Amino acid sequence: MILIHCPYCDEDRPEIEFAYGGEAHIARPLDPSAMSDAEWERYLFIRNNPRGRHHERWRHSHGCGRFFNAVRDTVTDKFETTYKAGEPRK
Amino acid sequence: MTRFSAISLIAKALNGHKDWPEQWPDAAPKPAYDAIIVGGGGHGLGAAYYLAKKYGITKVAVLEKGWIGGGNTGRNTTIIRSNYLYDESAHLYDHAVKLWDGLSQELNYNTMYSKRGVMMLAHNVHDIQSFKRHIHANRLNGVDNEWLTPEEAKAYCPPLNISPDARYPVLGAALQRRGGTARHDTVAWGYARAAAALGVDVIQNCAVTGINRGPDGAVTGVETTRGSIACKRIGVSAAGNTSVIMQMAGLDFPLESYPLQALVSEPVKPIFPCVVMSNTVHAYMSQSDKGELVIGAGTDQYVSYSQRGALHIVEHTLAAICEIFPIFRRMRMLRTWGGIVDVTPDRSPILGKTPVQGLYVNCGWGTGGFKATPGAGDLLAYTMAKDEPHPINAPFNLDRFRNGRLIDEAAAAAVAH
Amino acid sequence: MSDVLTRSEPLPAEAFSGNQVVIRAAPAMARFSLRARTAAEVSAVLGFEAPAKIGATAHGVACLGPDEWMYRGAPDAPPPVAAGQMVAITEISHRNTAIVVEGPRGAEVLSAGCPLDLSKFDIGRATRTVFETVEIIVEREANDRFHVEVWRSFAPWLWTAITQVAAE
Ligand SMILES: Cc1cc2nc3c(=O)[nH]c(=O)nc-3n(C[C@H](O)[C@H](O)[C@H](O)COP(=O)(O)OP(=O)(O)OC[C@H]3O[C@@H](n4cnc5c(N)ncnc54)[C@H](O)[C@@H]3O)c2cc1C
Ligand SMILES: [Zn+2]
Repeated sequence: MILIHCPYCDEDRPEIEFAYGGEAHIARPLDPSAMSDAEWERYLFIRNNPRGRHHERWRHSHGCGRFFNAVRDTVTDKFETTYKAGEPRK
Repeated sequence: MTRFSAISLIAKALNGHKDWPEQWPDAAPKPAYDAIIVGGGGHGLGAAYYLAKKYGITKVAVLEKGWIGGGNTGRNTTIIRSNYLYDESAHLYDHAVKLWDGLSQELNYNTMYSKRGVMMLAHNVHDIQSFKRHIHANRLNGVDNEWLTPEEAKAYCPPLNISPDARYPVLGAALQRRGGTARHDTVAWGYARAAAALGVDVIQNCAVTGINRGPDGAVTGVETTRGSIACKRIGVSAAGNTSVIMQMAGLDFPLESYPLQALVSEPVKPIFPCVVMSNTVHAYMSQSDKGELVIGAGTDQYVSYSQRGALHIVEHTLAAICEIFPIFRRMRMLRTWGGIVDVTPDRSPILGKTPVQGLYVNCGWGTGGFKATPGAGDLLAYTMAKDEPHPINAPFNLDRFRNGRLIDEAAAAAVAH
Repeated sequence: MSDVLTRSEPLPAEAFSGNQVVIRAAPAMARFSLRARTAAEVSAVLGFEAPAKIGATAHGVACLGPDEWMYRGAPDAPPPVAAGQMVAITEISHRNTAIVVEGPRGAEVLSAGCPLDLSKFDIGRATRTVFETVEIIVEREANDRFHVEVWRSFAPWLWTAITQVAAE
């Protein structure tokens, strides 16, 4: 189990308190009806899935309840940083 | 290729098994091939074998970054079944199960395919309805699958506790008798040996690091840790690493890679005659020929290439196993390990052409592609040889994520092994 | 014939005692969940200072998240009134129940299922966390006393789990 730093609680907390929320910074379409099939495909299904730095969402669901973003290395599983939702991509 | 037979086995046995020759050569890369397969798992080796055997394309290399079968092929819990819900899936998986049937003979290599039956337990009304729906759908597709009462289920698998006051009472089960298990490594070894005998180069310790393309965009070869190799057709069959390789050709893929774990117990006398799965309790188990209980766990929640999973995932699985099989509470576990599985949004594989001319892909088998090994190899070979998909794999194209024709087995079943 | 509904208690009336730990059901109390953007708004509603730091407690109020507070009071405490303030107040007196774990081995018993490092969990701190797979809210009321809030329907399981650990 890994420890994750919650930027709201400002503490390292055990992984089982958290829920993973998938790739971060995927913007919700502002004008859905204007989107092409290719744009829908990208929004709904295409994922970066990198070997290395990954921007991802987490929720401290069994803690403060908040969503936040993280940068983690997908090879070592080490967190580089976590930051509050709404803050720019790190 | 030295053929195995009862006589050759007895003769070598009398000699202390001392002078068996090398089963296939450890090939070094040549400058050019007609076709290259990236990934020396069962699927990739199978594709190479069928390219040579069925389509006469023998100038083929399989490039494996580690050792063959060292990926998910050698890490999985080997459950084989074809009782998937949708027509497309039933045809795809049943094509593979039919090939499993004659595989040992075809390869002259014992894959230890054992049709011991795969039983899925129903613990609640929803399970019953969903399994019966699967059974009816399967039968319409000519795939065997039958409903068992709790008593029949117990007769088939005596360690099962069917008492009504069990924590998760068994209300019935769906049984596919042709389902079962096989020995994972022998599948990789058998295909490698048979492919090599037809002229295929099986090249280990050779990671693909780039995909070269000509001015028209079509592939012209690959870069590897052992130099450049030219070819006009590349079949990528790299399971959890597919996204990374597709990036080399500039393609973004609808895949996420997750660690999936399995574990085995200490070996014991034969007690568990079939495969039992419980989707509701999230556990499944079989017993290997060595006597170990083979238990599959779940994936970690996050994307990772670490090839190891977290302990609490295993703990959760063992808690579930103890709930349905209290008899195994005192068993000790020997080993756990993880593999990286490539998961698509609809939990069905992608097997076909890509937008890049000459680049073919077989991926997205996620937590359940071992059962498909011979079928996936066969269909990837067909697709590469004809430059068009076989009708069986045509629905499993990449376009479905754009046009919406998903094959949503994720919604149809909670566990997909 | 009219049926009389009686509410059954999810926890046994009798305490568990042994191995340097006492485990008992907490007495009945009123509980309110308050959701707001700032501690100031919550303080204005309660009429006293609510803690602003996540994990802190004061006057029976615990700050559980950047926008969430829990207030516990006497069983007959009236609900706070949000007049004029942007505060959502929900009574959860009967959704939750609580188990008190007390004694020199209290932290050890909780640690059997709770992944927090309780040796670094100061007196007066409260947080939501888990015990095995059950969500709980732990408050350290004294060095060797923990107040464990749990949803009613999970309470019997939690009681069994905690007392079993304590007995071993
Ligand atoms: C724990 C676990 C349990 C499972 N249980 C089951 C089960 O019970 N039933 C079932 O049907 N399926 C199961 N699966 C899934 C199954 O193992 C896979 O779907 C299947 O084996 C995939 O086969 P493959 O040949 O495509 O992949 P692999 O065997 O993973 O082969 C891919 C190969 O590509 C190589 N490679 C990657 N990148 C490169 C590169 N850049 N260059 C060269 N080579 C590269 C890798 O080293 C690897 O050897 C399980 C998987 C796991 C991890
Ligand atoms: Zn938090």
